[in-house]
Amino acid sequence: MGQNSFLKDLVRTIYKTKARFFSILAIIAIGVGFFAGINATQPDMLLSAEKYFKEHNLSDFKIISPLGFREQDLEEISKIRGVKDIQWGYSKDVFLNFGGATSSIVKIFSFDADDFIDSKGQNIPLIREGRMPQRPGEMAIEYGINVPKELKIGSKVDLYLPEGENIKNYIKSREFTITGIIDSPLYINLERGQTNIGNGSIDFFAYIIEKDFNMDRYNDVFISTNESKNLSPYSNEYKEYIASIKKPLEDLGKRAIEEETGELKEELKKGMEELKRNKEKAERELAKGEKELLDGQREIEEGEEELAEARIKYIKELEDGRLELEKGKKDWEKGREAYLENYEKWLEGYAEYNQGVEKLNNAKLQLDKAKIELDQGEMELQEAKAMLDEGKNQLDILEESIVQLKNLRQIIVDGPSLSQEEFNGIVDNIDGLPKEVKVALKESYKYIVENPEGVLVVLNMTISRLEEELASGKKEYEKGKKEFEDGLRKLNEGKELYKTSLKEYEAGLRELRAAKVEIDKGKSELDKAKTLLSENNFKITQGEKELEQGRIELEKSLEEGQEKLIEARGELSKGWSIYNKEKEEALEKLREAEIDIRDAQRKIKEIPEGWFVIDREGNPGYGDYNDDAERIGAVAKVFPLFFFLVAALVCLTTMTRMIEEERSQIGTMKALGYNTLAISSKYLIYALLSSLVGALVGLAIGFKLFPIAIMNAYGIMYRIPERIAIYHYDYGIISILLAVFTTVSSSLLATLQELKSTPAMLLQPKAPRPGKRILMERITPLWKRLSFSHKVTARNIFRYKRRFFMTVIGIAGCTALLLAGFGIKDSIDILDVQFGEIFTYDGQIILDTNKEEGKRDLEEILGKEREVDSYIRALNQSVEALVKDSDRSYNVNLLVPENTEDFKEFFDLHERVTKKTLDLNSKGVIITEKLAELLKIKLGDSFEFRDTDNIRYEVEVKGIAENYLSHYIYMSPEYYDNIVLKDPLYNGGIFTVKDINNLDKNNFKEKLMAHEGVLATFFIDGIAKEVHYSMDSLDYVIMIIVLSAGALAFLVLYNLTNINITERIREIATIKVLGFRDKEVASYVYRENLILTLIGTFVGLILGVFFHKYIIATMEIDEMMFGKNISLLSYILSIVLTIIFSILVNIFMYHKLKNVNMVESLKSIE
Amino acid sequence: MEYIKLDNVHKRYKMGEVTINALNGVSFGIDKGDFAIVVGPSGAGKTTVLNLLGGMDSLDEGSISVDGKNIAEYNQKMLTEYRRNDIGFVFQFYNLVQNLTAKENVELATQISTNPLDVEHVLEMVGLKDRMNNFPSQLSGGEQQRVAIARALAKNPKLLLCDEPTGALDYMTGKAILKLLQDTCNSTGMTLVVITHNGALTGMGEKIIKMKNGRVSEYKINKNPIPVERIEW
Repeated sequence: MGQNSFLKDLVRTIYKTKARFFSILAIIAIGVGFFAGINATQPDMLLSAEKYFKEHNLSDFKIISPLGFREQDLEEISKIRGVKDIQWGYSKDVFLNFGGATSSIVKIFSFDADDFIDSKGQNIPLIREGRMPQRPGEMAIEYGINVPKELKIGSKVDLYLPEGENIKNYIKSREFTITGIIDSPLYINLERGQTNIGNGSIDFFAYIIEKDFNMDRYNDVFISTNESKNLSPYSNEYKEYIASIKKPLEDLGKRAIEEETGELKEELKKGMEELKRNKEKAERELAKGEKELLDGQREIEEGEEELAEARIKYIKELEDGRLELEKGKKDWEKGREAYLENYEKWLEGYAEYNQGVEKLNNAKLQLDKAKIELDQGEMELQEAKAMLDEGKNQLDILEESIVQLKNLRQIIVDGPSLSQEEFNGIVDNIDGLPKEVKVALKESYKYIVENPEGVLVVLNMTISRLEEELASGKKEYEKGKKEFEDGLRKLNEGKELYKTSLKEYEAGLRELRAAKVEIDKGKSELDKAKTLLSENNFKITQGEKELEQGRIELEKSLEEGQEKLIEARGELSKGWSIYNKEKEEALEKLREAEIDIRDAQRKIKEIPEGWFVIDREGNPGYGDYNDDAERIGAVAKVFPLFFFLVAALVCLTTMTRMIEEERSQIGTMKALGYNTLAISSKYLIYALLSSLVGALVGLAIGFKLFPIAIMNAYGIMYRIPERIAIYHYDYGIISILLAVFTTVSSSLLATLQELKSTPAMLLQPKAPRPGKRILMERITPLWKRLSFSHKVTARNIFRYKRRFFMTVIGIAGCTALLLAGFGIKDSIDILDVQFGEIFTYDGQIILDTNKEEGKRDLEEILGKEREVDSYIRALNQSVEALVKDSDRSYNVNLLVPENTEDFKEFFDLHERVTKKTLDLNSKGVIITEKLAELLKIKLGDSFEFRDTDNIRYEVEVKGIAENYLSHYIYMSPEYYDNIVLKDPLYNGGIFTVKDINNLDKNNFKEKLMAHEGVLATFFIDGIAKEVHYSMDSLDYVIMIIVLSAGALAFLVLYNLTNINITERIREIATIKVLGFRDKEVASYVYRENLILTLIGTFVGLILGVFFHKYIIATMEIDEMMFGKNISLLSYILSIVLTIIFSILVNIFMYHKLKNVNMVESLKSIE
Repeated sequence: MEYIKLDNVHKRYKMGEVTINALNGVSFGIDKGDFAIVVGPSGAGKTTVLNLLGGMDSLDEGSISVDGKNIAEYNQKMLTEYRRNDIGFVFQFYNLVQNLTAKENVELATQISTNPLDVEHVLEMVGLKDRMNNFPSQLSGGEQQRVAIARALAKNPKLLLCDEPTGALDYMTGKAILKLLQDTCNSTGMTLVVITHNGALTGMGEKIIKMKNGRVSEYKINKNPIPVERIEW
């Protein structure tokens, strides 16, 4: 293939695959255009501003001197290093009246045509219409939205100042004719700064010729520096350079002011010190007087207390005495009773005793008698005893005799070996034998030998007689003995009885004696008791007397004490009333002193410290413009990059697919002997051409379209006359390189991949990618439940992983872009919350505080209107919140309601996240959330703000409230007083009406405005409308994003579906041959697409949420806080749009599917 | 009356300004249950005939009647229905869906068919019962072609069309495939049209249509078809 046929082949390939070629081209164009365009916006915005600033010689510094500049000041300034040009003039803020009805607050600058010869001079006005003033009485006004629409060239206006000030002291004539309409680089946005007249904010500015001013000294100086034409504004070099000049200027200003005000300040300070001392002295004296009185009072109170205590004590004592007395009496009574009783008892006892004595005596007598008897008895007994004993003796002898007789008898019986003598002896020895017997016996002896028998008979006879005698004697004896024993017993008994009786008697006697002692003792006790009783009786009578005495004395002394106390009290109250009167006076004086001190402090505060040296950051809008540009730059860093990546990804897929398709051709070429370079160059050139052309087209359009569109959107907020959109070579080259690199390198890689195979292999149809079981099939229950076609779909989805990821990423990207776009719209749609939930009032009126009080009485103005529901007085002032260590400040509304409780009816201040309600207190201020964010302060931190008189105050933050639009500082009157050192001058009213929807607002406004003291009145729905209008510009930016995302989404889907179909053309043809109907074929293919789209959409939603967060964080403008949430509708819209795109693409593709040529597709690959 | 009748069929392809007459008045007939073989060199128009017969393409002139209906008059929709219900197609390169198993490939056909045969039975018939859960890439060429035949048969078509069914197969496998086709034709009484460029195979057909340059050069009725086993080439 020669050069010629190579080219032909290339051209034909492009022609044949023109859809693919142009889709790559278009995707690259959109991606590159968006990427480069959005990225170019920031530099373009800055360039536009730079051009404007440089062409119109925007000054680097503006110096304001509250006292005006002296000649020497101007000289000094021009001597400072770096100062190139100095331009001075006058300025004055005045009321401008046009046609009687409306009055605006206008900043009037002086214009000296000599300054501007040969395009010299600073802040050269940009003339929109007419010309600059040349003669006295001529005026050029600006071209801004706050300028009354009716004001045109030729209009006559009237200038005046608040009551009490004469305009003639500042400006020679009051009437001016408009000669021109201009713009100034000093004012690039809608803000016009602040003033100390009216409601505090300037409506517009104007120029009159210098000679029309009637002021002694110039009060404005503009300075341009050596580098202002060389350095880019906003650049760091510029900032550093400016900072180096600012310092000497400020020092100079301080010195200059010091020279003029030093003495005054010193005097004021001294005066204030004096006042403070006096105040302290008065306070001390007052405190001393009060202390004395309090001491007196305390003493009286103590006396009273003591008195009361004593009274109680004495009364108690008296009562105790009385009680004791009573008890004594009772005891005495009891004693007496006991005495009487005892006496009676004693008498009884005594009688008993006497009886006892008598009885005892009787007993004694009887006893004595018994004694005698007893003695007699005893004697008798003793006699009886003797007799008995005698008897006994006899008996014993008798008995002995018997025994001896018997013995004798024995002897006789045994043998008579006895001599007579012996016999006689024996007989003589028998005592009891009567002599005759003895004799007889002795006689008998003789017979013994001869007649023993006879002897024995005699003996026996004797023995028997003796035994008889003994027996009867014994009987007698026994009887006597018994009688004696009886008698003895009786005697003993009698003796015993006597003894006991005697003992009894003796005991009785003893008892009696004891009783006698007892009785005697009782008697003496009784006598003693009697004495005691009479003694006690006397004592009791005495006690009663004493008690009575005591009572009388106590009452007397109490009365005396009371009287003394009353007297003291009277004196004290006199003292108090005197003190109170004096205190009133003293306090009044103290208050006056305090006010004097505060006024003195205020005066000191009002003395300027130095000149106000303001660099460009202090120009309204200057900083904001850079911030906005940076914000877009930040968005550009992510948003388009993402966009671009998606585009590159799709191109990569497309090119890879193309090379796969041309596989056999590559094989043929290789077989024919072409080298790698020659073969791959076709695809490289194809990729290069499409991406390069695409990139160029994208750049051509993007560099113009996006910056201009965005600048136009911001143009509503910024007055940069010329919007430059240049071709940025850096971004251009980067994006071309990126685009070309991705497509070409992917083509190269794909070709090289193919070329690795041998020509023979390449000529074979590519081995189809083998089928594989997917993970889902392992979950048998689930898999079984799927219908056949769903199984196929599931397997296809997971089989072609590359396609899966490409599609999911592509779709996710689109959905994320869409969601972010819609989400931004939600976020800036914050008016409902602001004007529905936070501002619960309906309108405000602004009063002219220069009018006398009667003419600005709200009761008179609002109270009488029946449409009004409620209202509250408030101070509403425009101030500047200052960023620490910077000239940067933010315009803030300071709002001080007269009553912090009623205030809640008009403003619902709460924290955004916690919804916690915030109350105003005297400890600090509540500020709005965005302001806190801008000032980088937290709860409890302090910051400074500057009022319209250029005085700074430091306040502490006690609450951060949800708020979306502009910034507010809410302050209680007490805190205001502490901080500002004067009473709030309420210059406005906030009101609600009964029925806002049916209110004729214009009519109502007119009614209010008819009051002389009313400067302005407005309803919040009016503000809402205005804001809405300015928000439309942001909507425009979002539209661009959404449209671009939509276009990308469409192209991505188209491309991916296209690839999907071509890759599977054989499969599709096969099922067509099998007899699948068109719809069945389509659903066979589309089901996958749909599922991939859904997955992609879901992933995109997640991505989009993060995306949105990032964009909101970077895009927010200073004057607003954006909402942080995406509405449900936006989610739905993003999903629906993505699906609609997907469906659209599928419809587009349906045609292609229907026309798949079975015969051609199934032919073996040539 | 013949089951299939082509009458003076013309088919032209326009390639830019050139018109190619693919078929130039082709006429022949096949009876029901016939095993017909279309032979001829490359470019003779065999495949075109088959495509027309299979309802995959439309003709420019003439008529094709299948079972008494003139499919030449069918529109796209009717052709789809015709393919769906009456035709079974076997390709040289099998054209299996790679992502489906053998069984699933067959099911792909039976799913849309009104009177399908039992899938497993058909796979058994072609001798692939054991391998029915394999993916095409796991099967040999012959096996893949069997799956393709099973897919065509399972639809229970009136007419089975095979375009070079053995073209991509080796000799033995090719023979086995042809035997399978012949046996199927004999046992089911299905009408079978096989395209081949291999003249040696003509002996096995009952109707032999030789083509050349878009025309039928010879039409032969073979009363005694030879079983495939006995054919050598």
